[in-house]
Amino acid sequence: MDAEEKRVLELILKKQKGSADLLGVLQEVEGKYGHVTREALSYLSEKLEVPLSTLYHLVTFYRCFHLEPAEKVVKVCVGTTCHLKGGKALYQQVEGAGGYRVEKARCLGCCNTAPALELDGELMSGDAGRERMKGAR
Amino acid sequence: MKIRGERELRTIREKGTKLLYPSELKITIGEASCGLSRGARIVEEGIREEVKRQKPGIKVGTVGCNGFCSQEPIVEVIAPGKPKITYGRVTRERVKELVQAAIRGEVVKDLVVFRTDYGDMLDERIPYTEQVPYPLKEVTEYHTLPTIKKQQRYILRNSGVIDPENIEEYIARGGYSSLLKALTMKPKDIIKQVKEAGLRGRGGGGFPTGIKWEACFSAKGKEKYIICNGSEGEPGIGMHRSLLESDPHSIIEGIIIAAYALGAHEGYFYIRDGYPLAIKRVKKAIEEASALGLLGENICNSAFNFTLKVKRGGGVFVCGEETALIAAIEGRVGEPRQRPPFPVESGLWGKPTVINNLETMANVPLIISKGSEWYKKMGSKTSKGTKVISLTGNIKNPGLIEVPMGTPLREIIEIGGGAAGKLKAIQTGGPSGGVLPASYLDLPLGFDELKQAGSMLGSGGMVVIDEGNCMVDLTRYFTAFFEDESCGKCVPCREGVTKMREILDEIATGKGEEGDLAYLEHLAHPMQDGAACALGKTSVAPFLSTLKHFRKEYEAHIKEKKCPSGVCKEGMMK
Repeated sequence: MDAEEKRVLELILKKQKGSADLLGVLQEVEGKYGHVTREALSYLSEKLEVPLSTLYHLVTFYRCFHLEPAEKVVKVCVGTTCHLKGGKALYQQVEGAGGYRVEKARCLGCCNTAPALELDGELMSGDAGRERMKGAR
Repeated sequence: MKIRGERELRTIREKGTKLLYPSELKITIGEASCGLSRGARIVEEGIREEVKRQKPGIKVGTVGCNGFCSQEPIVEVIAPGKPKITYGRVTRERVKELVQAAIRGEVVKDLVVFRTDYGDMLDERIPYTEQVPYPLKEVTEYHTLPTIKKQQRYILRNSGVIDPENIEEYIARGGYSSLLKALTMKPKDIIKQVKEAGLRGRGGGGFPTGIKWEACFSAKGKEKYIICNGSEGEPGIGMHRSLLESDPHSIIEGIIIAAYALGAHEGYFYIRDGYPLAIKRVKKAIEEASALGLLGENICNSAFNFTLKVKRGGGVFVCGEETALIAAIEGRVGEPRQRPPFPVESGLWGKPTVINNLETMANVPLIISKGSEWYKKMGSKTSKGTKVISLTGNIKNPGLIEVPMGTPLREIIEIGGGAAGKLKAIQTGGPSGGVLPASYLDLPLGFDELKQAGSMLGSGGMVVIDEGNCMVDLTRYFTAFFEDESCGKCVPCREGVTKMREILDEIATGKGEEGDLAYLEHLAHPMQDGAACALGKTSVAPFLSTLKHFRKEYEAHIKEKKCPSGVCKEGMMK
């Protein structure tokens, strides 16, 4: 872990005022880096005086955390409507695209665009998403 | 400025009304998730560019979802003295023409969806134009649309009309007047009103809200908490996301009233991870409400203090369950625990806690404003009020609608323009619910009505299934969902769901054997009885309800190795 990351973690801890809100602290770290490193977990464990296993339990239980970094993220909706409208096939197509961390989303809340996906934080139809991903590669 | 009473509220209402009924031309874009997913932001950028080029000074704003999700991206033009014009399926290419027409006072005919002659407040109608009826006859008026006539939009009254990030517009529509009224009432009387209104929890359980409040009110301990559950994790339902994104204040107002009634001074708004826009808008709404003294210390000069914090979920379905949700807020792993004790006695940090779904909260200001007598006139025998329904699946016009409880399912499908193909079934209540075949269309909407028929109202998702969909495949899909989302704490759910999914996989891929269905039934009942929480108990619902109504389809897969709808291909005869 470099000095910069350490500084960020300190800031997050300071902001949370050493509260017991472990989830909140970890979410801040995830939000900042898109993943939580082993080093960050060790550091937080020491500072918060919480066993490393507790933090590991949290980051592996909750889906919002990732242990590996990813530059580009695509979330494919596998909600019911998207499933009925070909979401499974879309997921398989996108999965093979490479260069992206492909996640399943349980309903993105835009069933009118089914099958839908979220590409780097932007909602769009599966077709539009695949076009965009082609262009990016 | 802090709101201390009616006078201040009126001042803000006047300001907000000027925004909703501007004295100059105003163009708005619908920017909830349904619009954004169809390119609303590109359209907005285009409109801003065109406005700059053609006539700087035209106001450009954003609103939430008006329910016509199939028409997105939606753009509205409000010109003084004219009805509001709503355009649908607007593309970047058509923006120039649209702005030009707006400036000239003309209408782009092929993009118009409807016009609106007046806006509906809670108690009054405010016309956009004095000329009623307006001579623009070829464009249908909003209130006369068949789809709107069949609805009663109270919870959704502001959605798609106001800017969700502007509290003044919410107040202009009558917002926060219920809070002022509630603060003059005795907490006991508020609870009584809610109880008499017959409001039942909109999260799925349908538990009477007033009774929950009463139990928490009389629970021992001075410190009490209130939690608003915005953890809609079920696949296939977007209505809560939409309400959060389109009208966050209506929920917040309900939370504050509930907190006052219960004597809670701290509350949490738990919002599902993966709804970043909803989180952003709720946070903004809390900031705005705090700035006006509607949250914080001495709310509206009533000596009542209440703070509300947003808590982001962790992306786990089981956290919609009350005790798991509490664990998540406390920063622990979100596994449900055994009840009793119920949260109303021992909830967040061991204190009495009320957890209500966000739509339940949005009903509260309505009851306070109009009274329980008015409220309970709407609905069926045991389910009162209205219900927001997310109408999706194979339906012609997917969207967000609101109908009184008791409305026959047939009418709900009609509001969405009917099924895209031949209607086969309706799936209600998310994965925990069930399917109802087309022969059940006369069933009235309600908690008990749907439960008796073997399904569930749930939180109001309705997925229309046509003849092109396979029930075995759908059940396999839902069961796989539960397998993914089972927290693994109790055996019936962890092991049972996995086994069930494995057998369904076999049936769907031509490896099913005689006796599989009996075995699955044999497996399902102990899971229903023995699982620790609702997730496990209801994980067998998709199987049991599809088996009840579509046994033949299962048998075709097993005996003839045929998928009647042609969805399952692997291992199947052609």
